[in-house]
Amino acid sequence: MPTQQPESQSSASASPSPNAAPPEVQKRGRERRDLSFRGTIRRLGWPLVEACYNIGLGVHFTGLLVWRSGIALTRPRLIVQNMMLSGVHTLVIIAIAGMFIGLVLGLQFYVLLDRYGQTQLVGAGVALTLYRELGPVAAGLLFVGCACTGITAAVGLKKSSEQIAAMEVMAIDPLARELAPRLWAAALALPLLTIYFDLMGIFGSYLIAVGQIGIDDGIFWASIQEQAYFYDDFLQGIIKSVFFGFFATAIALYEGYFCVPTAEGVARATTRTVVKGSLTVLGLNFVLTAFMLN
Amino acid sequence: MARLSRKQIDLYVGAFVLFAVAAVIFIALRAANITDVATERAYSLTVIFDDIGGLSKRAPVKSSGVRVGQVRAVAYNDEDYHAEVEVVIDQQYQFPADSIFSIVSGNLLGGQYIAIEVGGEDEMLAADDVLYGESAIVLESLISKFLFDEAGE
Repeated sequence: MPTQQPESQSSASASPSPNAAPPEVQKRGRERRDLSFRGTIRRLGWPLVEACYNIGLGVHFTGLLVWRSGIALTRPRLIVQNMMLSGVHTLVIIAIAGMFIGLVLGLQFYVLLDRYGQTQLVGAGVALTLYRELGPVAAGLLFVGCACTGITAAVGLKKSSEQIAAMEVMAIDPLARELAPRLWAAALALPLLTIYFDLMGIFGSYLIAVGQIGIDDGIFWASIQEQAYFYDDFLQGIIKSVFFGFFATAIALYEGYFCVPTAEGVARATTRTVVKGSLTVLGLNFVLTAFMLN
Repeated sequence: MARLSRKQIDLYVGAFVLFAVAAVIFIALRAANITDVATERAYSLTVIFDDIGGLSKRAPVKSSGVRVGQVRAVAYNDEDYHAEVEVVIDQQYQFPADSIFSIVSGNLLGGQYIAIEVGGEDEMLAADDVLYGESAIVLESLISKFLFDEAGE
């Protein structure tokens, strides 16, 4: 690796003279002094090269997971087990978050629409916001924070306790047996969680709009039915969430599988999962929305 | 977390999936518009307008204020230079062939729809008929017309 190059050079140059400063001091000084054109280019270019390498590795890894998911797809029990972890255990936080989001959306839409005397549209506003954007994105972010971190930690722990190496020794493919089922379980679980999120959001806004503010029950539902479309609005959001689940989990698995196999390494990998996963969900949301609106 | 048996896991995941399916059905029936004007129970007409104003796809078609159909597509015909609006109307509603289709505004903020003024002919409109509609009233042209009329007097 090019990063190790300066180190080996410095220690090689340090060895002939015994009076020279200790290698690490000299190394640090050397690095600071390396202001030559080549050194600058190398320092600037290396992160880019590394990023390209990591992206390539990630794509290769994800492709490999999909390629080897034959076992996972022929043995549904593996997927069911992992859906328990990534789906059922995330349900509570999704449901509560959806409820609060619905409550606050109901309030905000009421305040906004009251200025134009259009409060009969509260239900429609909440439903469209939830179905089209907020449902998939908020559920995706919560999923990254709750389920994907767990996946990274579990895979990282298996690696650091050498369970993955042990599986390879037993001629069991860890990618096919351990990782691929998690990927498909998550890609299935997140759309279901998004549905729950949407439902709880609608329910929360119903509580505020009808229970608290006093908008007529029939008008609330009628405005939703008039404005929100099942295929164009609701299903679009669910399709987005399939992509979110797949890619966020692919990142979680990648970080876990390639983490430094120590306690600190697993912790760092988990942090990276949250950062990369959240940004992927948000970025992907923009790309998918742009595609779907065309 | 206590270790769950296989049966318990199956039970929880099954309930998780089942309730999600129930939620989709609820959303489809109650909180979304799935039973819109279904294509197999509706007939389509092409209405030609000189100016459609702010009419858009999925705008409602109403008669006496009751929704009877919707706009499926809006296209521009560059041979005859006019707008062609494809309208689907629920099969259960039939209108005389001399009915007038006009574009009107729901309120001042917009939300335009097509209103059908029922004619008196015995012959009914059939599927794929082409008819001329009354254009949208554009506020600016109305104002300028009013001003010029005033000036002319």
